[in-house]
Amino acid sequence: MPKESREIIITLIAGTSTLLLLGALMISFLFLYRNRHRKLLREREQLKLSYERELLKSQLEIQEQTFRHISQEIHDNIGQMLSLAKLNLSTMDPSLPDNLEQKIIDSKKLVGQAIYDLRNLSHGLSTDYIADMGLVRAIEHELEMVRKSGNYETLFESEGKSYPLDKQRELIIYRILQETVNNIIKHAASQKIIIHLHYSQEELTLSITDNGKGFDLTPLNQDASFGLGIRNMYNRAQLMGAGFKISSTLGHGTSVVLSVPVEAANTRT
Amino acid sequence: MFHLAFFIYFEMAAFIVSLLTYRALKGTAFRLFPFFLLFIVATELIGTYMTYILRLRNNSWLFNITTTLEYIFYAHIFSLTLRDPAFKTMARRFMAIYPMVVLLNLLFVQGFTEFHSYTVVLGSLFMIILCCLFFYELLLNPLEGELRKVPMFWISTGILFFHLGDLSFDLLFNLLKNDATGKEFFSSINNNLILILYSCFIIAFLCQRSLVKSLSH
Ligand SMILES: Nc1ncnc2c1ncn2[C@@H]1O[C@H](COP(=O)(O)OP(=O)(O)O)[C@@H](O)[C@H]1O
Ligand SMILES: [Mg+2]
Repeated sequence: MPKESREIIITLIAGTSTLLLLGALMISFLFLYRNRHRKLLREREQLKLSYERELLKSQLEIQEQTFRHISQEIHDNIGQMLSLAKLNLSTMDPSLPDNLEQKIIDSKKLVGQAIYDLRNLSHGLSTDYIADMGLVRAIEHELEMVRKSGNYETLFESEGKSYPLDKQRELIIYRILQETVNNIIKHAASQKIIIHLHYSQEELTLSITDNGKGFDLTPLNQDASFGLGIRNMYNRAQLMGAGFKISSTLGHGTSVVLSVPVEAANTRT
Repeated sequence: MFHLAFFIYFEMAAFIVSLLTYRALKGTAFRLFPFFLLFIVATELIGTYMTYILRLRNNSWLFNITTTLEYIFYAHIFSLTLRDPAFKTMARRFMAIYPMVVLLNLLFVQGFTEFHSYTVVLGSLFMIILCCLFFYELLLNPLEGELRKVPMFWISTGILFFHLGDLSFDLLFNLLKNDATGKEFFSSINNNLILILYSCFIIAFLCQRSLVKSLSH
């Protein structure tokens, strides 16, 4: 084979293999990049779905708690008052005018109070009431119900100029607050519930503190079946891009801090 | 009975598969494939007949017509599958201008009896660009199904490799045309590329059929 011809053939082979290699590289890059991108998008989609799911669950849980509260309220207060009013009416004796007048006055009061309480209750029935009232009023409302249900001293402070967050996140914040307060009622044996809301430019911080008996946090990090309620709150906070911290000292009480960035996290959109 | 090159069987297979999957190809950018493949198989057979039976030395003119039509056909497919209107227009312009350029080349530069390697290089480069554009659009739309299930991905891959592989030869054509060993080398590379090209087409047709099936269920 002449030398010149060999050179040409070598060039041909080298050129062809380089170009083919280039093509192979291109295709592999396409595969790699697209797969990574697709995975990313799928993960984001997944996150969005679980966020929506948690949102829905929170909504249901709030409703459930509201219904529980309402049935209790009807049974304990409104029902009592109406029964009393009925008793008054059925024991009215026209032959005893003094007594009669007092009984009418009492019954009127009782019925009036029942109507007032009923009206109050029906406000809480709307599912959008958190959004309608805003977080601050909703928390006040929640604390009012807590005080009604037992012997609790509540303190609520809001610092900074309040601003609305989006509906979804306010709902989740509210649900976390409810769950934390439920824990205090259930486990803390505390008389005091202190809630602090801080609106700053970057984030909204909500802290809920009790001065009850506190508890040991170590099982939270070890036993996955311990503290499902707390885990759930943590999970929800994460889904909306918020920080969730819990600290507790035995004998001194527990404190939960939720910090929600004003800028919505990119998982929700 | 004369001996048929191995790759011709692949081309026939691709033609048959395109017929069998025609129901799936009908409403798509690939609807002309069976006709195109029939044309390819026919010219291969005519070419073989001319060389081995009629012992004609030069069948460049047949080759020139086929390659030109191939480029136009591929550009047509791309003009239908690319999304960006600018890319579409580019492919369509190519379809209109390319045959004229080939004609000018044959008339004034390389001559009718010669293989039109200059315009083939041009066409190949353009095919490579179209493939790149298609891949670029695939990158932009990552959710559009898995790559290996996208028919046009296979077609582009086949076209890309075929033209990348042929480019060196076409560029060196003037040096190689009187070199028997060089030509032999090239045709062994080229034959393998043809196998890849038509295999990709076959895969694409089957993908298209399963795509249509999964949609209709
Ligand atoms: N405020 C609190 N004070 C004392 N103990 C608490 C408090 N909050 C939670 N705990 C403890 O943490 C445990 C886990 O709480 P949680 O995850 O809400 O589950 P649950 O309320 O269903 O028991 C509780 O069982 C309780 O022992
Ligand atoms: Mg709990």
